[in-house]
Amino acid sequence: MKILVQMDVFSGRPNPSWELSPSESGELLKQLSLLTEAETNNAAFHDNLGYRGFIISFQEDGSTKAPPNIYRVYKGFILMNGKVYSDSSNIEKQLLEQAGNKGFKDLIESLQL
Amino acid sequence: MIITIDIFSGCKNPQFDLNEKDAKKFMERFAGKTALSAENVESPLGFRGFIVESDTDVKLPDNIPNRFHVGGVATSKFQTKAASLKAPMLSAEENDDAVKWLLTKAKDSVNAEVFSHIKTTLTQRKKVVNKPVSEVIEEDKIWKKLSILSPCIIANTPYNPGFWNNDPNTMANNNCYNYAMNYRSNTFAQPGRKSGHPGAYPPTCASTKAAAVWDGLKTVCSGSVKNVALVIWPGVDYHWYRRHSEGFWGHKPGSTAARNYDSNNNIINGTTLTPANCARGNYTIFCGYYFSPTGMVVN
Repeated sequence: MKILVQMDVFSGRPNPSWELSPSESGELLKQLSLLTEAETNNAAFHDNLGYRGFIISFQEDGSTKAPPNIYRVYKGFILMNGKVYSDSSNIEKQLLEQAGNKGFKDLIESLQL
Repeated sequence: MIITIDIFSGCKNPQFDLNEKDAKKFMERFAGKTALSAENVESPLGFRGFIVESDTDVKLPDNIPNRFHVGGVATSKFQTKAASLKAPMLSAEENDDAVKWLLTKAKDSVNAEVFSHIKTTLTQRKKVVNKPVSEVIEEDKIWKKLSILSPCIIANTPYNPGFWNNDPNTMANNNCYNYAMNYRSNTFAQPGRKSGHPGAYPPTCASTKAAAVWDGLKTVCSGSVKNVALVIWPGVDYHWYRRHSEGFWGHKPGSTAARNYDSNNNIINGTTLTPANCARGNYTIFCGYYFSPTGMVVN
């Protein structure tokens, strides 16, 4: 299974996106599996102009069955299969660092998150 | 002189008058020529030419009846007879030239749709003819002049977010440019990609507007159009808005849902709140208002 990460930020241009390496994929899946459901209803997945967090999507490649839905990561919460989880592993922070290493450092700095 | 544009099947054909001076000038084209009468013209659906009728008893040149056709295609039966005529018919070029001249006189009788249809008909007719480049350039100038004469018709459409939001595939693969130009390509359309002139990176007002103009965007209103607006996130991205017939503005930030409110959740009502002054996050530069022709295609 391939894991694709998309930084959801642009309106006109295609969003920055990249494919995770096998080790990055393994680490992310492990962290996602340890998350617990959020107890608050305050999760707000911003969907207007500007930074809207990350979209994680999965593609079958014959090895492992891919989840059918995309996951969303934004400001301390993760939306998976219709349920909201607390981002206790700081996955969003890790993805931002990853984006910086993939060549989007200037963009992240301009967001002033 | 009464000119009828022979184009419709069910509706009444548009008509206009040529004043005496223009009528005289127009008839000079027919000196020593044979004009086509109605029974000698092909009758396809769509543009069939102009019907010219004299509304005075002023004598017309020899071989010209009081009611005749110009700009139409002669029937094959009449074309075989044409060689034996005492006076020749107008050539294809003379015919097209007469059509263009009449269009310049038609003013409000020709709306953008009719004009566009006539232009397409004439272009298709001459596709097989090889012309010198100089002639093509000259013709293009005439068409451009005529296009400028097309009246401005604001044809904004009702707000219909469901078209973009109900299907996840449509929502994910169409962006602000698709929404503003009202064309679902499912390709996350980019300005200039359809026309082969993609906008330069990083996007600026000038480069994004120029790329969209290649796709058909207009900076001056002419013909049937919808209002659109362009804003820029400096050095990073662009964003488009489209006005609806209700008066407010709609937009679609990337792969998110189409909506009619700004980043502060206020309706962009088109009066107190417009694309120029609404909350736009990082898209701080307002480039301007433009016109997207009805039927514009993007990719």
